[in-house]
Amino acid sequence: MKKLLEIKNLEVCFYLDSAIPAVDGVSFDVYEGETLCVVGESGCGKSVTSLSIMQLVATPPGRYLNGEILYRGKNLLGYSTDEMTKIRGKEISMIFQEPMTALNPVHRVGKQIGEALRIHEGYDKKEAFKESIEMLKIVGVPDPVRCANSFPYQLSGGMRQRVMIAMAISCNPNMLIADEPTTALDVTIQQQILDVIKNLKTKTGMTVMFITHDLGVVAEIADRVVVMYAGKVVEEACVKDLFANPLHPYTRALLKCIPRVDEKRDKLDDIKGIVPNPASFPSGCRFHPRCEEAIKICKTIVPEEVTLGDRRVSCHLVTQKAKECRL
Amino acid sequence: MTNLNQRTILKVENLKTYFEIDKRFISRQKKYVYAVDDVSLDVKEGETLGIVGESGCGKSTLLHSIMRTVPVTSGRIEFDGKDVLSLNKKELRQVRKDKQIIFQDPFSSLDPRMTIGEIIEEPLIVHGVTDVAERRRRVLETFEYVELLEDFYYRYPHEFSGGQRQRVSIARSLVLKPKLILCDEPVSALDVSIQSQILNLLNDLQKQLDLTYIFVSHALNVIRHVSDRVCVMYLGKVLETADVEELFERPKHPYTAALLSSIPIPDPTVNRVHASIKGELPSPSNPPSGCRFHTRCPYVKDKCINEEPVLEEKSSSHIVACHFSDEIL
Repeated sequence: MKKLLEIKNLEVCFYLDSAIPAVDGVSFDVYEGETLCVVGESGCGKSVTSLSIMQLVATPPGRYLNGEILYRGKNLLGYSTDEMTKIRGKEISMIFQEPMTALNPVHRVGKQIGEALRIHEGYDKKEAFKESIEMLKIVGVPDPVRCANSFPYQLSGGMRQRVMIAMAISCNPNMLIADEPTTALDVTIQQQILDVIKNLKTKTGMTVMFITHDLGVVAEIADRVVVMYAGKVVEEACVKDLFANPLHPYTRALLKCIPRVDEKRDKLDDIKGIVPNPASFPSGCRFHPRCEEAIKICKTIVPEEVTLGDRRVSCHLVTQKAKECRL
Repeated sequence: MTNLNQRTILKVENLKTYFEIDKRFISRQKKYVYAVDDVSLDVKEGETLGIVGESGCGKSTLLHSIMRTVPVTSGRIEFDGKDVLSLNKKELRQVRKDKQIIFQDPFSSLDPRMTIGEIIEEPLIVHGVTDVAERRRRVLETFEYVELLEDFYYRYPHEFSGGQRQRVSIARSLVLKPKLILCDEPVSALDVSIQSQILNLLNDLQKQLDLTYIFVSHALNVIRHVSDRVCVMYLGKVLETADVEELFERPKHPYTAALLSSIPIPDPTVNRVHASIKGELPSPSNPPSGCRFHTRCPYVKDKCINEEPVLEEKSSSHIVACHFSDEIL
């Protein structure tokens, strides 16, 4: 498969009262036509990574310290605002978690959906509005004409998220970045939105990068998964391998600590401690204070990444095991 | 955990909580949001009753009605043998000592200008524990229960993460030694790894202190984990109540079944057919006629549109409100 997007050693730091390294040396690839899920808890840098791809990190206080984001071989980090405008919405588009804050409250949604068409495809006002009704039809809005004439506040959460998706796909982008698009929604509506995204994918062959903290959603839609913790990628694998045989202790713990609908357990295995504050990440492996399997070396030395076939993991335990096998 | 001989600690009968909207001086017709509409339920001592439903189904309003923090339109709430709705302010305060509430958002439910110690101490002051040393002793005792360190006493909420703040809220509700704790989505604002800590804590506390919980959540996996019995709400009505295993294994209401099948299971090898529900939740100010779920129900028939189903007992402790539950599920 061809690589559509390569993130190489990305470092994004926010300079507030102190320096906050939100993303610290993140690398992963997104292949054409796949669904890649980025999983992690709050503050792990998953949203900042996706915002960096779109160059939407506010600078200042943010700064891209290092790294490259290659889209079809070209580094997006070097692009000017004008060049980026040509990418946003046309090549890569994005949907956000909270559709109410992402939509403009004073314009009708039809106009907002059509905006990208007018900018990128040179549609006039009327054509764009008509096309936006078509888009709303594609994402399964029951009464697209009325919806296009509504203001965001008149729509429910699920409808707003459909509007966001309609807006994102209006110019047939190659890649869709979805940043927790279903977190604010009820389960039945979440299922509807996931179905919309899945259907779009089969129809258009679009590449999807899906950011979430819900491992249930991951199992449902992902082809490959990147697990992030405290600004770093700790594990990357295809979805079946990750769930069947998680290599990093964090992934393992995460899978064990969620209550499941399909089975009842007496006690959940919890992860001790708290999600680390980005202003003061622990030394060595950033997961070591919460890791049950931590050894001496974890406290001091940052684990190197090991590649095992098509998966990657950063953990001393795995490194050691790999060495033993080779010896 | 449930035992048939257990004492009923809370009995809610035909509870209705309507909110008036469109409050104009002269309006032709009064309009209401039917937040809780004719709900009856029993809670037995020592059990956890889970209440599940989508947003806007009235689950939070139900809790607030039980606390009497919102005005109730009609119905009866009997807590520990007392009729809560007929109590005056003074008596109500006495009753509130025995039932406490934990809120969803630990960021807005703690006063930022009070120290952790003050926050947990406040209920004791309100309820007339005048001895300072005694108050401190009890606060520190609750600290231990929720696994907070003693030196947090003089620190402020902003210094803590969501999980620890939620521990503070739990401590605040425990300090009066209540019998019943109402949990209003206590883990939905937390990260997954923290969620399990709080759920385990609540579980341990229940065993240690013989607490009764009413646990409200929209997350079915959490409900399955914590509850002994579960009550499914939709647009202000109870559609189904059953023991947790029974409800998750053999749901009898099409809404419950659809809700269960729309939850993603964290296992890519499970291939499920989603009976996804069409459409969205109708407005609670203008609920559909007949069965409230009929607008989204895949099995809808004429009878459902015209006639409202009543809660019927299908098997022991399994109650369903559906005309055709025997035929469909």
